[in-house]
Amino acid sequence: MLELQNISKKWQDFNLDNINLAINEGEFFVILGPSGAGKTLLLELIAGIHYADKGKIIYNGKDITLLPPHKRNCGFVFQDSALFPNKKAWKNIAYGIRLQKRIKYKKVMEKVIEFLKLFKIEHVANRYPSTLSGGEKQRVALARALIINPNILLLDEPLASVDYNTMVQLKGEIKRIHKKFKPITIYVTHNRLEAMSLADRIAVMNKGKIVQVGTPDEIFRNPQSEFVAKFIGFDNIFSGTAKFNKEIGLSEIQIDSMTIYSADKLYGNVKVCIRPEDIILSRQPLKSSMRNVINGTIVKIDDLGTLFEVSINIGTIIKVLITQNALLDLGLSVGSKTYVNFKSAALKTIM
Amino acid sequence: MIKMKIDKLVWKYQKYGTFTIFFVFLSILLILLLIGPIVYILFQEDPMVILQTMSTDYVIQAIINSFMCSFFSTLLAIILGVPMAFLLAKYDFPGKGFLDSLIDLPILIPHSVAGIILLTAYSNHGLFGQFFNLFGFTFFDTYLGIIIGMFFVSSPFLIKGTRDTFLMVNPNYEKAARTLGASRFKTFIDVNISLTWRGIISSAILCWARGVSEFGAVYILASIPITGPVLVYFQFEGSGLSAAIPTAISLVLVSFFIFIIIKIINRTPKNRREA
Repeated sequence: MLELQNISKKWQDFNLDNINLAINEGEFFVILGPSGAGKTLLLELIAGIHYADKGKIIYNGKDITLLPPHKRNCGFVFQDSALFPNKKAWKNIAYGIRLQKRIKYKKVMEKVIEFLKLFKIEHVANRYPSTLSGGEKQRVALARALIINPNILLLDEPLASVDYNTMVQLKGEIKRIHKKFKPITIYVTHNRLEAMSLADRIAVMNKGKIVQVGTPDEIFRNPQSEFVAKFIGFDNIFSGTAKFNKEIGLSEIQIDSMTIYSADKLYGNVKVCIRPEDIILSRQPLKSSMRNVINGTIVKIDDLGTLFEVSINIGTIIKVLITQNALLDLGLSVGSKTYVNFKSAALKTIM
Repeated sequence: MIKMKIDKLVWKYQKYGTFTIFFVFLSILLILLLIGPIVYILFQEDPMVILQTMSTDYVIQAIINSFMCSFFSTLLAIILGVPMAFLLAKYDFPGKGFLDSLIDLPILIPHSVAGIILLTAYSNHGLFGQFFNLFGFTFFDTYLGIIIGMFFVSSPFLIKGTRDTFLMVNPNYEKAARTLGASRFKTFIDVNISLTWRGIISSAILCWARGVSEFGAVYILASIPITGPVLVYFQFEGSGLSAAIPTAISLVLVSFFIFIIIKIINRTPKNRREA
């Protein structure tokens, strides 16, 4: 188990503030946050590249706060892969184990070949990094980090600079490898979809602080602050005042001049979050179980490629995601009147 | 035919524009001013006379003195300068900016003044001279004196050049090596040195060339044993301009020849360039 206790660190423009985390053996742990949150710095503290100003890092009961990086046995994969440019791919992979004392050349080669096969990169073994594609580079980097059999595997946005298809492939690869070797894996990203599909648990980070820790489900269903809600895709966040109405068993939330209903018991000032994909548009008020039906006027339609983002003025601006088919069926355009429908359960409220 | 040629000129003019053509013109002017005189002097003497001069013992000796002394001065600069360049490239510390300008000081000081400074410190009465005398080293009119003179004026080129090459290495390479189990020293050798040695050698060549060309400081601290530049000066002072020209040309040719050869040896192979 890896524990970070009250870690604080100032470095250049970054400022980690009292970080506390406990990561279990074999866990795939994702640190999610915007750029500048201090995610990389936190990773480098765990690797020993930087040392904390305050606090402790404990691995399996041993204090490793001041242990130099070469004695920590952490594998590190960088966004830019950082393969040694003067070494061929196989020598990059071999670097870590060749440093181990009393290891025979034959054993090194066996291991290297095993890892070349594992990552399906035999064909690039004799090439220099500058001639490899982004995906191949990251495979070599992963092999290089894993061949030393690390206790902790640290991945710093490893998929941020490869194309979409390679990203999908590599993501599968990383998952497979994690299952096979089961090191403590800490994966840094700003991409919520990556976090969602890889993580056992996620820590959301902002401005040097951990703002929420939980399983992907907890984070995505139950964000506990406006920042987290926004970051994980609740594009519609409104402030209002709530009052629980016993007769209908719902809370009435007053936002400016409109009232919406939530299934939660709420009182006082609240933030209301709605995902753009949880809203249905219609020309006529829908006769359904949906409690919230509000009419408004379309002010903007953005083509996002596969979906359209429609901005509607309902007293305030609300964003809705719909398919091209729906847009054409409803015959919507800028200036059209439309009804905005969503379930009271689709609301996520933060008190 | 003529119309086609004019069209082609107009096309070229439009392709590059007045701005670029003007800069090309200025660059040609610069080359004329700098390189012109060097080419000019080469034609001031019969090639046979130059060959003869080049093969006289005292000219050969002077050139060897210059090259060897500058070689040792460069060696000293590498031993003491590379660690400092590394510190300057990798760490932030108070007074770093000040130290940086301090290193430039020898470039700024007039070389005759550098000679006076060194003579004051390293003569048998000076503080440094007295100290090194304890170990039997003297500097006034000795090879050691020449080496110190060259070292003083040329080491900044090595320190700054090496620091710049260290700065060009992606810091993630070091981090990768450290996490893979390499100690600080091993990382320094495997990453920093093995990725920058060409740059370090380039800086060393510059440092060496600067040492070879040094006259002022060397002349004042140790005018004998005679080095190339001092020899030319003696000939000029003793017998006038025309007496100095053959030796001067010899120095130009030999220095340039060696410089080119080292540069060719030190070229980077294409496939190993940093990605």
